[in-house]
Amino acid sequence: MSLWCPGLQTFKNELMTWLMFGYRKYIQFGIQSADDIRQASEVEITQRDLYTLEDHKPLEHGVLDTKMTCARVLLDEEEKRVFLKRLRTPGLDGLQIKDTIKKVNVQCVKATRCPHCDSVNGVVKKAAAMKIVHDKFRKKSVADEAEAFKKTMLNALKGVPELKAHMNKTFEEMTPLRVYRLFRMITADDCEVLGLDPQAGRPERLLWTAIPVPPVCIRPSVAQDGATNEDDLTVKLCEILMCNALIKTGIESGSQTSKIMEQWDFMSICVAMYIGSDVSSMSGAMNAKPIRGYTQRLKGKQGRFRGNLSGKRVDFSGRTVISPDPNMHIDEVAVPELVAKKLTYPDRVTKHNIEYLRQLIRNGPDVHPGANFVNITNEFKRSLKYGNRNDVAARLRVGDVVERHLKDGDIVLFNRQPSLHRLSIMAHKARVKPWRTFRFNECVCTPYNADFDGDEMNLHLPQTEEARMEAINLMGVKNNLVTPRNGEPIIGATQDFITTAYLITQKDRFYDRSQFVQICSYCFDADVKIDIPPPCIIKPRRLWSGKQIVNVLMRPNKKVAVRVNLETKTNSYMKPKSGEKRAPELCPADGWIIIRNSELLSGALDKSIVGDGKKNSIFFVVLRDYGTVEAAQIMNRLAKLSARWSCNEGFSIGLSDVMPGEVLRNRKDALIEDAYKLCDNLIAQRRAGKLENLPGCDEDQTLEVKISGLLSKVREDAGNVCLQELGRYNAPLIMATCKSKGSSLNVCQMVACVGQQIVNSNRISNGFTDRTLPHFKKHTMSPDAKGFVSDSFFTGLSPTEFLFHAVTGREGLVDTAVKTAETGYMQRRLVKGLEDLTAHYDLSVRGSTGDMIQFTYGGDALDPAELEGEGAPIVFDRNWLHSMECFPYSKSNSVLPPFYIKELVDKELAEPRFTKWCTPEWLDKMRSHINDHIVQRLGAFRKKYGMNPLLIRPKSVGKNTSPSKIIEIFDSKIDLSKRNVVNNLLCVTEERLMDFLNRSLKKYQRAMVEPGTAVGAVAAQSIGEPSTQMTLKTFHFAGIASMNVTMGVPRVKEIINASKNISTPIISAELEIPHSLYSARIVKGRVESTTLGDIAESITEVYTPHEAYLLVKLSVDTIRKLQLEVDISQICGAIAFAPRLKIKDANVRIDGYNKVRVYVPCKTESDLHFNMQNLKRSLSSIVIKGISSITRALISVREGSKSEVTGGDEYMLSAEGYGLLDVMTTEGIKGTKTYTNHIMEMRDVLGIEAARSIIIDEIFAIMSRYGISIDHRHLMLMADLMTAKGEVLGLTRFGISKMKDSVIMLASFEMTTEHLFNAAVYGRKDAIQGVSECIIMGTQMPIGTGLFKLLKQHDNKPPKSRPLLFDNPSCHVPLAAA
Amino acid sequence: MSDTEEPMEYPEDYGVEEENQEVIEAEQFPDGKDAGEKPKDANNNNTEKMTTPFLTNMNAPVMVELDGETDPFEIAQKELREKKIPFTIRRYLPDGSYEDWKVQDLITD
Repeated sequence: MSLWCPGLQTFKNELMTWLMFGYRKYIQFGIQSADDIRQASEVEITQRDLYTLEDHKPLEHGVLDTKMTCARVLLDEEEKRVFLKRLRTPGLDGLQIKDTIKKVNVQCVKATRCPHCDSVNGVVKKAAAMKIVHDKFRKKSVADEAEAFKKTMLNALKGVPELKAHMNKTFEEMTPLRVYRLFRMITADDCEVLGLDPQAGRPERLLWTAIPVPPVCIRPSVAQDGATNEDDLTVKLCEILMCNALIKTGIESGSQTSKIMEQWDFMSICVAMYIGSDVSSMSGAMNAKPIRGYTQRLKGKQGRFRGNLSGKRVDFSGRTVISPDPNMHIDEVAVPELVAKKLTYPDRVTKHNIEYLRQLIRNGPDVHPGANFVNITNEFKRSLKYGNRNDVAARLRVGDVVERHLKDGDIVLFNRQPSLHRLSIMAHKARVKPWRTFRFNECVCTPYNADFDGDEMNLHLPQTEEARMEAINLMGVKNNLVTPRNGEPIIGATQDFITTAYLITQKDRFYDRSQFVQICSYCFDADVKIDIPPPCIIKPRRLWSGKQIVNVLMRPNKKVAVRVNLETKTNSYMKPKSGEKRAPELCPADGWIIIRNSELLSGALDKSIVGDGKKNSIFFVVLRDYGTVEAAQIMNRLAKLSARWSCNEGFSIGLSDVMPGEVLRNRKDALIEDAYKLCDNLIAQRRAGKLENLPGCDEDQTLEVKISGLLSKVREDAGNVCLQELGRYNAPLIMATCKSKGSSLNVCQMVACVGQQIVNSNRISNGFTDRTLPHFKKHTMSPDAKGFVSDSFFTGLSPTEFLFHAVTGREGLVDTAVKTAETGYMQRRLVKGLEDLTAHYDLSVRGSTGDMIQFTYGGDALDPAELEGEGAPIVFDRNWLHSMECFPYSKSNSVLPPFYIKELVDKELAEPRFTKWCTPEWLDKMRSHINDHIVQRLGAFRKKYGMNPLLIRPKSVGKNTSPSKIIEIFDSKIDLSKRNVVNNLLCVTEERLMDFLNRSLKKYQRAMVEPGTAVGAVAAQSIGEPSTQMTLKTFHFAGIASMNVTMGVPRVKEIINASKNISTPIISAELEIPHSLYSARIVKGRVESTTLGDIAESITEVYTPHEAYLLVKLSVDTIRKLQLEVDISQICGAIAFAPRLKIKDANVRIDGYNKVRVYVPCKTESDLHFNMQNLKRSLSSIVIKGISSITRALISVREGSKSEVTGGDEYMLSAEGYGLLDVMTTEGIKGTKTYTNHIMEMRDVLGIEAARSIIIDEIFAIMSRYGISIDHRHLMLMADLMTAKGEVLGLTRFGISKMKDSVIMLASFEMTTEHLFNAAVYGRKDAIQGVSECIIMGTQMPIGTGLFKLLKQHDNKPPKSRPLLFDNPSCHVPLAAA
Repeated sequence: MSDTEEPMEYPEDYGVEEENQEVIEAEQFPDGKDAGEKPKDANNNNTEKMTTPFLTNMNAPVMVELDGETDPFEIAQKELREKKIPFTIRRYLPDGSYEDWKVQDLITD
């Protein structure tokens, strides 16, 4: 054995090569052959000293080349053809290929003998670290060969007799050398059956015969005071070399075989470590510190893939502390001059800007609008710090590039980590300002989730015009006022802005002319003409109301087109008490907003009107009707108004604000006293054992539930008392009512009572023996001993209360710490799974390889971010109102009669402009809305005032009669005043109707998803971002008493992972007879598993002189009460056939009406006692009735249901556990209305579509529990992705690797090297179509603006050909002359 | 250095090159059903947002009357408003076929 760098045993140790074909069309993974390695190398390294390494020659003459005649896939020709055909089918995805290869493998393992050479096939297995053996002779059918094999070792046995004991453990060792030779003999088409690519990766290449040595820059030496520190790779390579040399000399000088073998093994380990130091099968003792091999360089967050390829460090960026500035526009950011001088933009010189850029050059790097570098065409880049700048400026020509400072109006990207959704990075316009912080309008805090307690943010300056334009158009703040999660505005007034809006629109707020004008001018920068509205009070003094300021703010003068029309309720709206009749706008809390034509007629603005997160806000209405610019402008005005107005007005909080008055204190004390008394009563009842249990609870639990309920009500009541008793100028109360900051709970805690402290959804648990603290007596259950804090923050807490309060505070902190890590990982997985789903031009959603996920995005191709209503593209009511207001009624417009409206609408909606774009469902909705809310209403009004309702076209009216004529015919006899009344109530003109229809159509078209949208990434973020806000707690299921259902992040995780085992599987079933509790109990008995222990009074051992048996005494009473449908013979049957006990029929005998004898089967008499005891223990858990996998079932009242039969409650059944199919088929249960929350079971029983819908429903239920609304389309997309392959794939490393085919994408996700090795072995190709791959390769991805191509239109004239020299006759010299 | 008044050759070459390249690529899809089919109805819902203004940045000829603007973005917006941008957008359908739209024909608001 001469030079050979033996390589490696497992498939783990290959190097992959990245061969590029063509111009980055795809990446081919493969295995480098020894020749390739040699070809790629510069030097053959033979010295063993430091810095030099050896290359090796492959072995020519092996020792073991005797018996190996055949290396074939163990399939006969026919089977092989079948598999080859399957593998060669075009258009296979990775999952299908893998399956086929697996099948080949399974079939081959089954074969005993090779069909080609008849040699034996055994089990190939790992024997020890880095040792593989072929256990040939295990099967009995090959005994002859085994015998023959043993004979070959007789000689050895003679020499070393001790070996005899080990004779039976002999295997063939698959040495690297042997494997190498076998692999070389594998034919090309056999390779294909194995899934290998004979061109890109022949199997023998899996074994290294030459080691590639990277250049020194990959493994730099670090010089440190005289000595050098070598890279881990260098060290390892040295070791390999040394070993190799040892083996070489050993072979040459002929040392002991065992020694050489040992060295060989050591070298193998060294090489394995060189590739990855986490070699699993290595003896742990041998290395002290883990080295950084290739695997470690690629792996993990800091590894090459995630740390250097997917994300990189960038230039032209800055970071500093942020601070608020209401004077900034919402799409601006103040950049400190210091930063502006460092960040530059390469501006190309044109004839338009040359003079400007010259001045910048003259200013140089130290004066603000200056420049740092100049790149003159065909010259080096020049710094402007040194040299004569005037010269440079003079030499500047069109086409040069000037790296100028950031200036006002430049587009910058602004970002705050964690970047959980796309709104965490937005494009702002820069404004260069003094001082040191980035400043922006507070309205933009929400999308970044920023506050100003020391937060820092990052700023990037895009470097090309293209990038700037994409940034401002796609990421600009103005274009992102709305979150794509559900289409609600996310940028809106916050905190003080809301307080101002609330205070200024109070009913008693009046200003005289000078004040009014002053306040109006607060809103603007003295750049807008203001039309002062007429005062709302003229006598005794001309006074303007605060609401009029809002009018000016919305529409400062007549030329502004903005007409806001809105009618909605605010947070403080009070419903009229039953029986009370009042118009909504007469609400005593002024909680009904009416805005007509930008005039605020009633209502005080609060968070629901000017804040974020509501679709009824002024900004949202303006945004939808007049576009982003107007909406942003109104927001700017409010911000400015607020900053200036509240400076003068003042708004502050003091001790007097939280001091409870006499009445408040008394009422609160009374509340607490009552509650304490009730609690004491409950405790006394519990002590006496008289407390009636709640369903599914024991006594203690019942007590806890009742007390908790009582005490939490105390705080609620106290809060309400606060709201009533505190004065209307109380600052905390004002903030709570307009929702600008804090809630009534916070007010209550400050003023009245802090309330019950809850940890882990229980009262404070006992930290000491039987008590929470030594201040209390043992076993005390009283409120104050279990964490009820009756004091307020104003009065101060007692020491025990303080501690209890701190306990809950700590829980909150722990909770946040845990959930950030958890949700962060979830978000990453979601995004990786969904990142390359795109809406295409045919409105389908596909992955990067063209795999179809949805045929139409969300079923209707509507973009959630553009929807006006909840899940609907247009809110008809408001738009009709808007159309009415925009087109005031005048005499010249003819009023349309009801039937005419209907006909007109039908005619219009049948036109192609509607039918081409809108779904028929939506058109139906529109039609029915117009019919219900316009046509029928108008008819009703007409009827009421004595006119012909005209709902149907009267026969007397001809087709061509104009509407005015019709009205004249039918209404001329009616009193004019009545006609006016009807017109006043509802007047439909053609102008209004057409405006309404066109407006709706336009909005619908705009709401359609733009092709190229990264719908996947948006969906992933929309699910991931809000889940960071959920707390990790389990809630009690409200409808089902005491049935705990996992909620929050853990449950979302279960669903997204598609877990096989979930913590609370629950099957919900409807009953055939829902109104009868009696029958429900019977069905419950059929479902719930009842064990013998549940119904047995006793199980006793009976010993008589003749026999010994177990006597089971059944409680007939219990059976009756549980409504179990069992008789004693059935019980006997159940016992006899109980699984695994093997009792047999004959051993069970009925003894009277309520007793069963079970005889104990035993082989010997001595076993009897033990068998008896054994059986006694296991008897009680035998399932007598019901489904064994269902542990518990509960009957619950269906919420909001009324039985048609009795008018009472309807019941349904919830069963805990698995076994959907069994429950569905149980008599008395409606199988068609039964489902489980276990996704995998749904898939197995009801199919993939059922699984998909349950994924959607479950996530939606969790999110809505936390008050988070997510558009259905996002959930649908996620569920569709998870179920697209026909089985439910979780968004985990396993699921995602089945969903995606791109190796690079998978490598950048998890298990980096495993995926790379695999790709190398199977010679995978990567098309570089997806997001991750394109980012890594630095190419444009076919998503968003990369989906289409841009062509320049030019006149298709061929370019003029240059005249050639010899075309010119004058150059021709006649030959003859010469 | 070339004359400042004359636009550089570069941008126009760029445009021509790009088109040639695209056409070649498109021909690779023989089964593209409606390849290159000109749309009849210009009433598309897709509002055009990307107005790659590198025209002006690269010293391409300005297509509109300037009114003192120097910012390429403003110029490009003006060009877009006045429908003077000489670009065609090639929209690829998932089966590889494509539709060409002139920027002038698209709704821009």
